[in-house]
Amino acid sequence: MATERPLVLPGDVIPPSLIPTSANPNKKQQPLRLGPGLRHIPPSDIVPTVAGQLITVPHKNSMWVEYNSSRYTPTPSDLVIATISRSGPDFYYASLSPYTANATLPHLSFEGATKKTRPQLPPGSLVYARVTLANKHMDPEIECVSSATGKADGLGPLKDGMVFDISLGFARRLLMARSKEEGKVEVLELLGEEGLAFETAVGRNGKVWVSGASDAKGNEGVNAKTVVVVGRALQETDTKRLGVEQQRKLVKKLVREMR
Amino acid sequence: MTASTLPEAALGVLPRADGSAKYSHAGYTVTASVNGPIEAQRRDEHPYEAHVDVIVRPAAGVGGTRERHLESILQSSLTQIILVKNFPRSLIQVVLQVEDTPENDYVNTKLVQASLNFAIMPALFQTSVLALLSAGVPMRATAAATAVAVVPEDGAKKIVVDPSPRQIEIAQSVHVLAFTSQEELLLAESEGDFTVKEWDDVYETAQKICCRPASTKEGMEMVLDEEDAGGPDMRHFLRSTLESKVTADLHWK
Amino acid sequence: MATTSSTGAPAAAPSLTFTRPVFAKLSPHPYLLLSLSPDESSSTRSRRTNGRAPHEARPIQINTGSLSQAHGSALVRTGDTTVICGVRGELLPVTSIPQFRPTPSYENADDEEKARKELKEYDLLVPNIELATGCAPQFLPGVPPTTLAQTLSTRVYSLLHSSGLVDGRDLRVKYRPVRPPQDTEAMEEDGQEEEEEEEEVKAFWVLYIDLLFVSFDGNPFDAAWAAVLAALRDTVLPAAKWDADREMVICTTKEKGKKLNIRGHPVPCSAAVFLEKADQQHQDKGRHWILLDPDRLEETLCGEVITVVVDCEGNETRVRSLEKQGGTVLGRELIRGFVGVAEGRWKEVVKAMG
Repeated sequence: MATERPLVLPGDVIPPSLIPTSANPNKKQQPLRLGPGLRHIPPSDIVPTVAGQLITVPHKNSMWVEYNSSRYTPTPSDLVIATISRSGPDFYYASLSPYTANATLPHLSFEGATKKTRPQLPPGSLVYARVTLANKHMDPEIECVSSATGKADGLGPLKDGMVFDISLGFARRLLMARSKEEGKVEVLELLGEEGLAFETAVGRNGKVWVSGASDAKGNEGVNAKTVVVVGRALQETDTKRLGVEQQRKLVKKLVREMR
Repeated sequence: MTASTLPEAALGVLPRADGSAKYSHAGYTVTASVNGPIEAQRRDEHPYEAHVDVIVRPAAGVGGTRERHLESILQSSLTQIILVKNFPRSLIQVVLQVEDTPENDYVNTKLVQASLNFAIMPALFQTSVLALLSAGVPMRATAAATAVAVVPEDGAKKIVVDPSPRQIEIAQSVHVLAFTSQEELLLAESEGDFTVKEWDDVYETAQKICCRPASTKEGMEMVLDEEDAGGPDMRHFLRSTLESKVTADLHWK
Repeated sequence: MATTSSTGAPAAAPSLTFTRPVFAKLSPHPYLLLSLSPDESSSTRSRRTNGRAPHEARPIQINTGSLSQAHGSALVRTGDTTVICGVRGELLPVTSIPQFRPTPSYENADDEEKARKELKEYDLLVPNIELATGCAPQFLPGVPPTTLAQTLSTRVYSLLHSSGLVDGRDLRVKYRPVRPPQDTEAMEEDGQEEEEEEEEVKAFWVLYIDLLFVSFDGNPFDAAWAAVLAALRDTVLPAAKWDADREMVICTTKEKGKKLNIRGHPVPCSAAVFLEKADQQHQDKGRHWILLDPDRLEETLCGEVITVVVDCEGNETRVRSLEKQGGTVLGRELIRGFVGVAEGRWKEVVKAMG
């Protein structure tokens, strides 16, 4: 990964050499894919809209701007943690981030839900959901079931536990398939190695849900201490921008304090 | 040349806001917070674009008519550089708190604040741009502003960048100009007594400060430029401030 | 069909043609755009919806002295924007100015400069702008002053001070102490002071400049400032004397009042920039029109506005204020050209002022 990662500011001119072009003419040409932080001004200008590092992946013919922020803008197929704020006749109204318009969550978009068996969620309950519709002119829509398979795939109401706020960039790192290698986040693995049993769910909207795991007897005794330690570890790693080595130290320290 | 200190800035100083910045230059210190896009109040809601709400809080007392005027100037300028069409029906709120000013707002125990204060405008403008960048609000371009005064000196006229309150008092004309990073004139406010020719000179000075071309080779050339224009290089300043923010954010990369 | 449609909708068949007012209400932007860019083929010139050419301002009418109770007044009409301005002087004895410091005139040679500072320090010019309920639909009764009203009064206030329109010396009420009677005891006391008694300022006139928009159809600042200028030129302050015995200022009607010394003729000229595309962002993409003296409809459709205040009394045009905001179309060249337009407007307004 020795590619150049220049800093771009909104309105900067991106040198044409950095815009990936299909090098192989024999291959079927893939359209250029623009990720977050870039906009296309017809006919052929690509202009950054935020300050960050310009990342280009030539073999995928895609480019985006890597940056960190804290206000979530819904994007389809993002996994989010939503808080139910009220229930309507057919929908729950759920909040993805404070002071923004509520997302709608249909009562029936839970695994195996019917009019009679749908989960009753009082205001304040948490759900792990996927964004299905995000349009600047409409309120976002979310679901807790895959509409293709009808399976929950891990989505659904989150019981017990606690939600911690993290930055959007950190949420992205936690959600990376290889978060340890690419995202340089090891804190969860380290906590697990220390013998803590917990579950987490990470929402792209800058929220992470932590719950103490139920023990072998099915006893749902949530270990509050564990939850707090995991949450604190995550938040400190985020705000103090800790590297892997520092994460290790932090985990040692927190675990020592807990015992 | 007065001892014009270089501008200083820190981003993300307020952990709870979506974006924030603290900026100090020429005796002014301003802190800004940016929140948004959030839900707009019914009366501010625009069906096709985001409403940009600017609130200016003075260092002393509560905001009056002067602050309303500053707010309306900033609002119309920031609306131009934010991609407001990306967030219809929403609100982007910019709150600016003036912390420190070189002059005392209380003259003779009476609060003087009806007249427009030119020197504070660049600081307010710069801080809001930095806070918007820190919040990651999508923008069309960045922008920079500067204050310039034409001061009579020994029978001749001299152009002073970032004038002090005393210089503004004796100045023949005071100007504030803002340019986008595409070198377009975004804002021009002038008062006093001047000719078109003088304004032209002022324009050139301000443009040099706000949009000096990024020098590719640092070193001798840079130093010479610095002396030539007699003022801070706002574009370079913006870039280096953001560079440290981005590198810190993406330390894991 | 295409050829007949331009002559108007046929009365019988239900058509999709709107009348002009309906079109203007429904989609104001295309409405203005269409009238500004007529067909290439037709001979009609580019016109605004109000029938004016882009660089044509509304004629200005100025009446002075219409308010009998004020010391000076003016009524200004430009098209449907009507503003009335009344100037009233109120006496402010120096004893009620807490921060007043008497400075004898011989101490500082530049009396004029000092008078200018007095204006600012003691706040002797108090402009206030009210947008009357009903002068335009957007102004509702019983609400606090709108941002527009506050912005306007700040702009008027700033320009009043920065242009030095009013000579602060006119607003002083002075008193030259009479030499004490030739009393022997008093003579001994005053013996040391050989020089003549200095005039001292006993009170100031505070000018309350109240502006009321009777009708509002865009371009409020130009009309407001023209009204302020005309009203101040019309202002006659009554003769006022300090009565040492009663220790108060007495105004007399026997003596003729004095007219204010108004320096210069600064006249503002405003314009708005109308863009072809509502979300147009670069100058080189799409056309734009600079609409002089915009009306209310045009103001709602334009983002970028410019106001230049010029004074062409001397041989060289002096710019007294320049305000441009809300867009990036107007660059250096266009602003320079606009000063020329403002010079033309200056002549019209000064002529109307008489």
